[in-house]
Amino acid sequence: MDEGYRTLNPKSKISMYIGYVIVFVILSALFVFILSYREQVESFLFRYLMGVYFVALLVYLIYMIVAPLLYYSHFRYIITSDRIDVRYGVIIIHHTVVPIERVHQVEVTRGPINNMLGLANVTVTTAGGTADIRFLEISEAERIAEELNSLINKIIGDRK
Amino acid sequence: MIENVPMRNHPSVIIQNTVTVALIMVFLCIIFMTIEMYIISAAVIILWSAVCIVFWARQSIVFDEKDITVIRNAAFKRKKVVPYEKIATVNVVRNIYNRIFGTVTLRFNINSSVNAAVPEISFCFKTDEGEMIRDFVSNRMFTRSYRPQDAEERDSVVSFSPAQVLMHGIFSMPTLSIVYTSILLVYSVVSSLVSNGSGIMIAITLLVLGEVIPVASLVLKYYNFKVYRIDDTIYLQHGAIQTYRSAFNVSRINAIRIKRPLFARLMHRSCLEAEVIGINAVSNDVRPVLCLLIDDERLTDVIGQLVPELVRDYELQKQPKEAKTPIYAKTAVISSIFIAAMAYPAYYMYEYADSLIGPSPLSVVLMKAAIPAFVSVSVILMYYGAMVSLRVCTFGISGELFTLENGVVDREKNMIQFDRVQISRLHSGPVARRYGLAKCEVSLLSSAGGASVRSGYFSERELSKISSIMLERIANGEYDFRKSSV
Repeated sequence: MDEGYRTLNPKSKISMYIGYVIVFVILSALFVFILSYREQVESFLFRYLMGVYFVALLVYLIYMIVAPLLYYSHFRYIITSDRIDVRYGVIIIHHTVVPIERVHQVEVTRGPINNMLGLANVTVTTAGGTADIRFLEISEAERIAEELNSLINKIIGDRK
Repeated sequence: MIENVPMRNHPSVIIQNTVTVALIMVFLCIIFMTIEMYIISAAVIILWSAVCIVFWARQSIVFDEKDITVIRNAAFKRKKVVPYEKIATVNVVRNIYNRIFGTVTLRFNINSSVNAAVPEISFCFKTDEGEMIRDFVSNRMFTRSYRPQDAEERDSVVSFSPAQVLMHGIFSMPTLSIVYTSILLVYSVVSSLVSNGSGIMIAITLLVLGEVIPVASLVLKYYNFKVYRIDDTIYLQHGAIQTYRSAFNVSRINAIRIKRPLFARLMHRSCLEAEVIGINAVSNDVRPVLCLLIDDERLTDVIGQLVPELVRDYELQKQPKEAKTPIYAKTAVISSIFIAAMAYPAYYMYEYADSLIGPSPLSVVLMKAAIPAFVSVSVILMYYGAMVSLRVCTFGISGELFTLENGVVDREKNMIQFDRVQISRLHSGPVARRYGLAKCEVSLLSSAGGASVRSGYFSERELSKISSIMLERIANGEYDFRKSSV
C-alpha cells in the first residue's frame, strides 16, 4: 500500500518538538502570570477556569511528547504525474488527494525553526482550498515545487 | 452598436460614490459640530468628488467578439481582460440609485473561488443599454440570447405567495438560531408580565437583531421569487426593494444542495441551493437559493425541471453497522469530558445551596439538581444525536455525480459533480481504522470561496472511489476543463 511513498526527514521531529516546546513555554508562562493574580480575583469561576487550564496544559504536555513521533511515523507522500497524495496525522490519520490538474499555485515556505534545520513546507493552492506537505528538506521542497510547476505548465500547454 | 465601442459608467456612479463619503462626513460633523470639521468635511467631499470624476472619465469598458476589456487610465492603471467563456454569471442589480437614475448595474463573475464574493467587473448603464449589453454577452456565454421580455413572458417553474416567502424567511434559518430566538421571545414576554426591568429591552433588542431583521431582509430579498430555465441557462430573479436578476449556464453548477432544517422537516418542506461561483456577488448569499421552502414532493419536481442533469435515480447506502462503534466511542469521549468538566460546578452548586439561609427546601433541591439534570439531558441528547446520525448519513455514486447526506438536526443532501472536486480528504481515527472506516471531506469551488462537504463513516475503500473516479475522469478525458475553468 505504501509502495513509492516517501517519508519525512528525521529532522522534522526536532522541528516539531521545538515548535511545541515554544508554545508550551508561552502557555505555561501565561498560566503562572494569571495565577499570580489569584488573590485579587479569587472566585469559584477563577478556580474553575484555572483548573481547566491546568488540565489542558497537562494534556498538551503529553501530546507534545508523543505527537512528533506519531506524526513522523504516519507521514507518507507521493507525487505522480496526475496527483499529490499525502497521508499524515497524529491520532486521526488524514489522507489527502489533490489532482495536479486542479493546482493553481505552488508555494515553498520556511519559518525560522525550519530554516535553522534546513526544512521547508510546500503549499499547493487549488480553487477550493490548500494542501500542505510539511517538514521537507529544502532541496526536496524546491524539487517538488519545480516538478509541480512543470506538470501544471504541461497541462496548460496541452489545453492550448 | 455595442461591439468594440468603448463605454463609460453612467455618470450617476459619481453621485453614488460621493454620497457615501458625504454621509460619513455629515455624520462626523453632527458629532463634532466645529467650524474646522465643517471645513474639512467640505474639502474631503470636493476632493473625493474630483477623484470620482477622474476615475469615471478614465475608466472604460469594451465588449469585443471574444472578451470584455476594462481599462482604467487613472493614477492606478489597470487593464483587465475577461474572456466570455470564463464568465460564470452575469447579474443585473437595481439598487436605490439605479431606480432613481433609471439605470442598472451589470456584474460579471468568473468561475473562481478567488474573490468569489466580489464581481470581476461591475459597470452601470442606462436600463435599455444595460439590457442590450446583457443580451450581447449572454449570446456569447450561453447557447441562446437573453431577452428582457423573457422575464415577463416566462412562467416561473415555481411561484411563492408572500406568506410562503415569510415562511421561508423564518424556517430556513438554522434550528439553533430559531431556538435561541424563541427563548428570547419567551423571556421578553415573561419579563413584560412579571417585571418592569431593563432585561426586557435587552431581550427585545436581541430578538430584533437576531430574528426580526434577518427574517425581514430575507422576505424583502426573496419577494417575487422567479426561477426558470431556457435551454441550458437558468434565470433567477427576486427582490422587493433591490431587484436581483441572474443568469448562468447549468454547466457552471458545481453542486446542488437540498436543505431541510428541523422545523421545515417537520412540515415536510425543504429548499434548494446551488453552488455557482459568482452568483452571490450581488445577493450576498453564502449559498444561492434556487427554490424556497416547498413541499418535498414538489421540490423533486422542481429539481427535475431545473437541473435534471444533477438528478440520479439510485440507492444511497447508509452507514455500515460497524460505524456504530466509532460514533459511540466518539460520543463516549466527548460526554466523559463534558461530565468531568461539569463535576466541579455541580459540587460547588451543591455546597452553595446548602450554605444558603432562607430559601425554601424546594428551591434548594432545584439548585442542587439543576446542573446534574442539565448534564444528564445533554448526555442523553448526545447519544440520541449519535443514534440518529447512524441512519441519516448516506453516500452514493452514480456516473459523474456523487451524493453525501448528513446533519442530525438540520439535514443537507449534497449532489456533487466529480469534476468540481478540488481536494479529497479521508479522515480516520483509531477506532474507525480498526473497522476499515473513514470519513470523507471534499473541497469544492463554492459561491463563498472554498467550501467543504463531509460524509459520515463509510468503508475507506468505498470513499477512496471519490478520488479515484475524479482522477480517472481527468485521465480519460471525460473531464472538460472548459466547463469549470478558473
